[in-house]
Amino acid sequence: MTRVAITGVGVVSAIGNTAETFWTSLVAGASGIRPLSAERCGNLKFRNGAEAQDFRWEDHFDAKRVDTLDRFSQFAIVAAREAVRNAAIEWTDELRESTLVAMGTGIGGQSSQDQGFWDVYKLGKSRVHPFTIPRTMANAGASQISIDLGITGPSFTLSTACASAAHAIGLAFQMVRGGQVELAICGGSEAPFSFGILKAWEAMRVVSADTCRPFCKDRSGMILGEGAGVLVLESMDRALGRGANIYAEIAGFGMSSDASHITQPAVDGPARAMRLALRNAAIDASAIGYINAHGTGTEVNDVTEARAIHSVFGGHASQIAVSSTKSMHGHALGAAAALEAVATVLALDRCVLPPTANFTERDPQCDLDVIANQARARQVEYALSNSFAFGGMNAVLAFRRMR
Amino acid sequence: MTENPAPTSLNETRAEAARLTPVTATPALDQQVVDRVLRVVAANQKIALDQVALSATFEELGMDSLDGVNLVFAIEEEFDIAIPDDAAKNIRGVREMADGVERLLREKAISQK
Repeated sequence: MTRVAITGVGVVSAIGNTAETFWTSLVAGASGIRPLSAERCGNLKFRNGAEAQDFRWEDHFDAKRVDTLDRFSQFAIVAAREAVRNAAIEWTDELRESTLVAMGTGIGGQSSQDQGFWDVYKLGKSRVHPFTIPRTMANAGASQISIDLGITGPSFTLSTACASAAHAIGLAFQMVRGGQVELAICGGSEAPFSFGILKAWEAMRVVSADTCRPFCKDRSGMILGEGAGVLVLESMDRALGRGANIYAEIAGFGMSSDASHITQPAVDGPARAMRLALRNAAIDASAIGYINAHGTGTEVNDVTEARAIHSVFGGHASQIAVSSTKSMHGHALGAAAALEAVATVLALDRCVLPPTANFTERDPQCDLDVIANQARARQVEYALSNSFAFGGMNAVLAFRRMR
Repeated sequence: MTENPAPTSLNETRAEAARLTPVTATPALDQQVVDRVLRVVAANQKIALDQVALSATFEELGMDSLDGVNLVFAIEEEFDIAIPDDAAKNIRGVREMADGVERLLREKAISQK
């Protein structure tokens, strides 16, 4: 079977607007969780978020182009440009026709829609901006990447809430592995910091008033994040043939559904997704040395995920280092799995495992080897990245070290 | 979703504009309205003000159909008027826009009397 190489990565996030600055922050355990800067957050119960506060659209787009771009599309394009640039792709018309764009997003351009709703409901205006639809539509991110890079192959957007990017990367992986496309630009982007959306999250009562402390005894919920992560995938033969820098290999992908509850996670569904990823990668559970956990920092997720890991790995679970980088880049929803995939890939590549920041005291119910606050130097051959979404949709990616 | 209009060549557009320009002089446009229209076109389309001629067609300004919808919105906001869909579809240049704006402002003034 064709092996699939990752030859480019790109990031926009609260802890860095390039993959390298993102990685530097991850290794330092530096969290991007800060007081929210978004407008109209006056009566929100939570005050903190992981915003890409250093992101300036002026650095990337002219004023006319940006008119048609919701913030989530801006992130998508900027991360895609970086990923393609550091993959050093030499474009031809044939290659553009055989390149896939597959992006995940939970809510697309709903911030633009929220602005329109504000105008008509609150301000009593009789019209909304005519770009509301092209900015809001969930496929705008993928479309704008294809327009920006001139990609004429297949393109689509996947929306599975907090697992969106994992599903997008997983399907892109399968399409490259199956030979349907030569190259894939895949990942996710999200920009949820607008008032109406924040109020909806507030109502769920899952957002911490403080910070994100995954797997800690005193964890108090998730912290919303934003940004984009993009990976360039190609067949191993193609990557080796052109002498590309290979960050890591995607070795397997597993998906499952809980079929139980719209928001409450289960143990069985996530466990099956992990098992399927291992089987798809044709590796034994004992090969896994690191798991980048879904680790949202909510009461229920973390304990459920710990149980799922134990059920899959049994005695080997204690040998696996686990961290949740959401403690630093926040929960970027439809972009989360892409940011975490980049974190996992760079961890394998650099032989350093990023920590769980803000770590206080271990929750005995989350009986895992959680990397607390300090990055750990360790060479690992295989790693998993877990994504378990609202709706009970689970997606797990398995990565293999190349160097 | 906005459909792009069938591409017309610049010459065709000019010919059409010539056909549409009545031989008898149109009533002189209110210079204040014209200035405001020119400013909105420039700001909305991110074009330098001195590059926007009253005689310019939207095509000459490099605008596509979505740009046109965006401009109609900005003009409506500026003058607090509602441009009907049919009229919006047929406006092809700055002068027609200024002309239409004046007409709508006159109608608005009458209805408010």
